[in-house]
Amino acid sequence: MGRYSDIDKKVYDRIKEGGVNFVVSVPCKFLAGLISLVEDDKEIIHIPVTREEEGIGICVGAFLGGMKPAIFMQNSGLGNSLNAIMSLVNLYGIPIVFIISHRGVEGERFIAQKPMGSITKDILNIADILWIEMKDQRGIPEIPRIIKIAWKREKPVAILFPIKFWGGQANKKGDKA
Amino acid sequence: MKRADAIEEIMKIIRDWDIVVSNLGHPSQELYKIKHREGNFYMLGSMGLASSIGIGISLAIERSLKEGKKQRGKKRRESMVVVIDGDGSILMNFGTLATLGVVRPRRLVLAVLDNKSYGSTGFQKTYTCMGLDISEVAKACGIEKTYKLKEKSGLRKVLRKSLNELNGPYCIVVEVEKGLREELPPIPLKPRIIKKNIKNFIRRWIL
Repeated sequence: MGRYSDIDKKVYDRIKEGGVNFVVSVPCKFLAGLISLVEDDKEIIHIPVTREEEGIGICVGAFLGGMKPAIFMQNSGLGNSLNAIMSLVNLYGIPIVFIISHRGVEGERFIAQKPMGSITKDILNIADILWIEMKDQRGIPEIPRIIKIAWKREKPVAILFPIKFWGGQANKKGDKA
Repeated sequence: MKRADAIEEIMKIIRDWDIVVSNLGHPSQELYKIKHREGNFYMLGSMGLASSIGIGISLAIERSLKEGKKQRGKKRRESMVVVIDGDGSILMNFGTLATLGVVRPRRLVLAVLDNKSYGSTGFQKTYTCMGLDISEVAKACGIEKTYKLKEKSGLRKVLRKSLNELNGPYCIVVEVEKGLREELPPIPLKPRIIKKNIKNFIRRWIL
């Protein structure tokens, strides 16, 4: 049994409510709770992957095979996946739900996160990925509606979780792990 | 044998209900020319990801077949996913061998048609031309059912066994000669049609 907070659980339940039944993940400290929940969930196929690009390829296959895939990842992984996004996901029209922890923004302590953090939204715009930012808990009930847009349009969507979304909780559970 | 010969042998052996994923460039063009069918997913970009796409499909159909979803009175088919991949492609997504060894999708055959070169860009050498043995890497990653061969008879035997056994993953490294067998036209299908075809195919045979 893993560790997760109430917020993690609320977010996770809404992701499932949106129809996601297949998840690949590359960890982020702030997604530890979500990953813990999906690991323990027998209803969902969960595949931890070596790299975000690989995960996107696997999600594409899962969709072709009839599933509704999501990727749990840190924003830095967008850089590792851009060709897969452009020449596979967008070229064929594959709905993948990107659950993205947005590092390098307000509250970030590590300088190396800042370059990617500052261009994350630009990358999503250029890659024509519809995105929404979860500024705080009040946005959580919107999650299923956004996810369903992906299935309807057969296009990817991204839900960004900036550092401040998790409040003080992420730091606490990051240190305990 | 040339890669096209290997693809031809593979396509003679796979069943109507098997899914094929082919690597970008020449392999997809060869596959299209040799035996086009709705169950072929031609990957046109995203070099390196053919095996990953194959993994995703095999996990999805494994789940569907396990859940026992029946196809309106038709007999449920035990489909396998055969990935037609290359040495350069595997090198670009090296983690895929680790994922195969750890996650172990049962319904997957990864055929690495190793011509020791990046064919589609002008036959520059890959590492397999410089001493790397992909079959050894696959075994080290835990893919127990890994084979390395260069004869058509060996390929036929191993592929038949894999498709019947249904208990992969299987990694078949086939040493092939550099070069094309014949002129290759570009694939005329639009990507969205390729997607539609394979989704319909999977719905028809499996879901």
